[in-house]
Amino acid sequence: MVLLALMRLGEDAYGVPICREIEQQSGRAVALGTVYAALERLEEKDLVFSELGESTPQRGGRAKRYFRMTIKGLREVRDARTALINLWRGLEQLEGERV
Amino acid sequence: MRSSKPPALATWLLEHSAPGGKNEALAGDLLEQFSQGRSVTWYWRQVSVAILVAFSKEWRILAWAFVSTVGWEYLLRFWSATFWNARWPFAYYVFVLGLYTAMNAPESLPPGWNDRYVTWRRGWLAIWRPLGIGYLTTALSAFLLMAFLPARRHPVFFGNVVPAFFGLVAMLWFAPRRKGTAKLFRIDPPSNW
Repeated sequence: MVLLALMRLGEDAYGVPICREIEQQSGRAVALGTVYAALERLEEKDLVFSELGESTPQRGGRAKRYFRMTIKGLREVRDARTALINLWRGLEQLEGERV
Repeated sequence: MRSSKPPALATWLLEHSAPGGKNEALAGDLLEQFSQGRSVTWYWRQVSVAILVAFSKEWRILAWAFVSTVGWEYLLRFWSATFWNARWPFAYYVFVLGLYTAMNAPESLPPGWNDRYVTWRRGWLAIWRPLGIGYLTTALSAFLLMAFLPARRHPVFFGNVVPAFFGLVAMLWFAPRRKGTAKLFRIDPPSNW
């Protein structure tokens, strides 16, 4: 979910928009701390990388941390999508449902 | 009416709950959200979750730090008691006195030495007491530094509340473990333990 949010946001992917995007798309409240924890795990696996951006007075002089997806991360998303499509295929319970 | 500034304590706790200033960007994000109208309750909830996440991520290293500190403490007790039993007070004095007094156990000195030490101790008490309080915390900080540095990109921030917390817990363990050490190593505890 976090990786997909990163893809949707593109250049503007830092904590606040990532969290907002996940909340809007999933309809659930998400704590920023858990999003950062997930992003750090993804960074340790080289699926994303981060760089510090500008700091603003609104943020108490603290820099934004922008996250970008790596080639490896993009490959992982594609693999996950393929796996999920394969798992969904042929499920009788879901046949006839409209997404 | 909502305060224009977020709770300073919450911000401080957030920034000191993870090594290397890792939570700086998160703290900035929370401030940004707060300035856009989020409540104080929301702020505290976000900080609490972030601290819990930081603890849960580092629990292995923290548990190991705690275990190693307790283990070291047991070994130190065994070592000093062995010297005591072997009647090797010079070695005991030289090597253990510093750490023992740092841990506020001057009564463990050999009988004849106690009076001399008490006189000498008065002047140094102000130095030894803070050392005693800082001993376990310092050991834990050193351990965490060694544990974090090879694997982490960010250096450890020494003012971390995490080692301070575990130092406090370890110090609370200190008193009841005197007899436990003797039992564990099957030695006769000195009468003044």
